[in-house]
Amino acid sequence: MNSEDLVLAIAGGFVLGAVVAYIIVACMASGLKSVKPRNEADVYMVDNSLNFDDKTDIYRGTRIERQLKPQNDKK
Amino acid sequence: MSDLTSFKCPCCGGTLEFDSKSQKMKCPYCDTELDVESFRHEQDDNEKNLKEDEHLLEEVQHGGSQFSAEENADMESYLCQSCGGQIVVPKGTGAGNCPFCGNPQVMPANFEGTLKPDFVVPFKLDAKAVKAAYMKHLEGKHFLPAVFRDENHISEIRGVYVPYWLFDSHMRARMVFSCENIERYEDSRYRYVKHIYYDAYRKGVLDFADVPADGSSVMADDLMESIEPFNPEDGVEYLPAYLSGYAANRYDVDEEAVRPRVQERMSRTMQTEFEKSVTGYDRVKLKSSDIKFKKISAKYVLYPVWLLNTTWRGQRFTFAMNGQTGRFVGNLPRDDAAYWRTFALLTVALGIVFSFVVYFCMVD
Repeated sequence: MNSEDLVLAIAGGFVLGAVVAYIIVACMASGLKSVKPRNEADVYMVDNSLNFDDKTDIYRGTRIERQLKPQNDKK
Repeated sequence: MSDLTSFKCPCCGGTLEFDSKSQKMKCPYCDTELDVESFRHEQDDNEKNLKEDEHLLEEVQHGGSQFSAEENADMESYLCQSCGGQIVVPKGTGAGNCPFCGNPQVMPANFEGTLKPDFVVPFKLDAKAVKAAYMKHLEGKHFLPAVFRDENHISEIRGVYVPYWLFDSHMRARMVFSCENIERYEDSRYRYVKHIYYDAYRKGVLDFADVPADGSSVMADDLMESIEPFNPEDGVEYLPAYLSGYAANRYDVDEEAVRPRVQERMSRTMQTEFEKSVTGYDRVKLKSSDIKFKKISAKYVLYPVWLLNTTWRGQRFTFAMNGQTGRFVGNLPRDDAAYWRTFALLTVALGIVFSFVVYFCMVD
């Protein structure tokens, strides 16, 4: 292990640390926002008013992808 | 000039206010309580007097210069029934307090005829509950400036009857969903991924009741949507007495203007509900949708909302509380210094840990 690898390890570790730290502080700060538009109206649905006249599922076809296994794959 | 209505205490002559706890009219001076219904005849008398006064006013000559039509278009003036002071308010104001004597006043003319609400949901919670909810709202908030925890920082708390449109609808829809199941298997030479495709057809109906949209241009739509839902079952017939002690506005955004937003919300929910019925697949995607509103009708109501204002570094923050359920919302400011300090400390701490992890992974 040379010094270049050590620098790389430190740089990589700090970049990873910054990303994780940003996610943590963003989650902590998200509690400050509580005003947001309500895009659904689910609480105003009339009970038992959802009725289906038609519920049909039709088969449309099949597609198969094939991939050659690597030579050293033991499976 | 139009007339105001204030409700006088029969015992001491003080101005009565609607009390959210007892759901009665209460005198703040002698604590006399009266049923709201007992003020119904006053409303009838006021309406009669108002018409007579309008007739008389045609013959009155006023001194001073006249307001232009444009200036008059945005304001209305009233005489306070308690002190006689002239109150000028923005057009559409339905209730408020006299700036001279502080007594609650109701402008019943703003809720007459087609402007009369179908019903009103009276306040269930008082200003004390708002303060308590505000303090609770601040609890456990990271990066909140410390000054916000000081109750004295609140600049204004107002109970407002906000005009809402409530929509009932009967909807019919036809939707097609593209569905896919994925199977993976392999033999000695190959790996296979099998995609099996289906189309799911759904046709059906769904009803909505009392979907709200605020009819006030002053109120931020997202703020009003955030304090939903209200329970319209607590609604009572509109009587001006309910407005006493609170601010109130009549609608200035009509039913037609808010309908697209309500239809958008209902359509989205219908799509969600239809999608929930498509089960047993790994992937489901909407392919086509045809939603029709077979029947849609609107009611005009007044809902109780508490508004709380506060300022910080010259910026105004508005909080709202559902005056019926107590749901409290409002965006809080972020202490940027604390935010970036925490970010820097976490970056250093996690950076050291991850550097060791990366280093040992490379050594291995």
